[in-house]
Amino acid sequence: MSRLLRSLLPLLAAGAMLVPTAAGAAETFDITFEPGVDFRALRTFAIRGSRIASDKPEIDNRLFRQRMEDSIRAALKKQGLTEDTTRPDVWLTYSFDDRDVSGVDRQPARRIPDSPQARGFVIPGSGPTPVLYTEGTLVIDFADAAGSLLWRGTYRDRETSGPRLSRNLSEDARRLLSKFPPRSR
Amino acid sequence: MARRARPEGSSFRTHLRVALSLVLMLTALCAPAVRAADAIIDADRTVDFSRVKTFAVRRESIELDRPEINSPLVRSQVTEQVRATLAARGLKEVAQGAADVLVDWSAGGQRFAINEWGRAIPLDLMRGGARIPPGNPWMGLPESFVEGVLVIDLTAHDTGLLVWRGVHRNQEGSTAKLAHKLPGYAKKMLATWPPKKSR
Repeated sequence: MSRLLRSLLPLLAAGAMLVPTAAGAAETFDITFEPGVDFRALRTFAIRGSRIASDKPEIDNRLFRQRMEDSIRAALKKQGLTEDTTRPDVWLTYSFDDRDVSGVDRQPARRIPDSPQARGFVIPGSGPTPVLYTEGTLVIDFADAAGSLLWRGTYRDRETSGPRLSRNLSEDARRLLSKFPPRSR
Repeated sequence: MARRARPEGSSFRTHLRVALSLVLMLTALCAPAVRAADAIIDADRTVDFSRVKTFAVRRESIELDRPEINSPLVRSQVTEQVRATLAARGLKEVAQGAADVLVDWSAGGQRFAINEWGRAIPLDLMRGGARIPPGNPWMGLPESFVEGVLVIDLTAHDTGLLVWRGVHRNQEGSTAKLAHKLPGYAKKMLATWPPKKSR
């Protein structure tokens, strides 16, 4: 590694630390399922319905639902399931809600240490800076014909813009469904 | 006191480090770090948009009750931009009864103030219709920025179904700036017409 690059490394590290973190794209997901069920035996599915609790126009509309359901179908077909709207093995429902969050981002002062080529210095801290983001929760449920819940996937996505959240949700659904069927514990 | 000898080229490196650190500091200080400008367009994959030839503007609304934005002038500027952009994309404006698609647009926004702790406080209606309670000192804070949103809907005349929606969100320094930017938002979204056929 060149000496110039080595001397710039502390700066690059400091730059990375300056990136606001409070609203960073944080995503978490969780899967729970009925342990006694043989999920490998489930071969067909149908989408029964959806519940969208969002006042964002980019999410609460039929075109978003269409995009979401296309993504769900594609993900399940990839997992080997086929759609059967008459007598499916499992019924799928999905729901989504979101909330807007107002936070504050603060960056403390950073000391860049001395290097052989130059003296160290201090980058002053910044903030407080307002940070707005939306946290969305997507829940996908599989239930049997009797209505008993067999599998639930929950995906939380935090985005700094509504359009980005809307765009990512169909991908979030695909990621959740890539965990179906669950591996037995 | 004798100065420490520096290797050749260290002056250039020092300048480079100082310049880079200045860039980093400016980035950190200037970024409002709130929400980024972003837009999304959703189109019905079952519709053959090449058959859509005519449009009519049906509804226009501005849902932010501020004189800078809620005025007939802003309304007509946005509508004219919608007309011009769709015409440039090959659509013809006709009477509502004969149009293939009906265009509705609405502009809204949420004004924010920044309180003493640096937190953004909504000045208008918050989610669920709640307002800052009377007597709260935050009520008197000046507007710091506005999160504006422009929604353009195209509805099929024959089915009544929404077939195209564009949503543009951005933050502007004031309601007046938002009002000036709205025609640009409309142009940016409608410039993507017709939607590409999904695979």
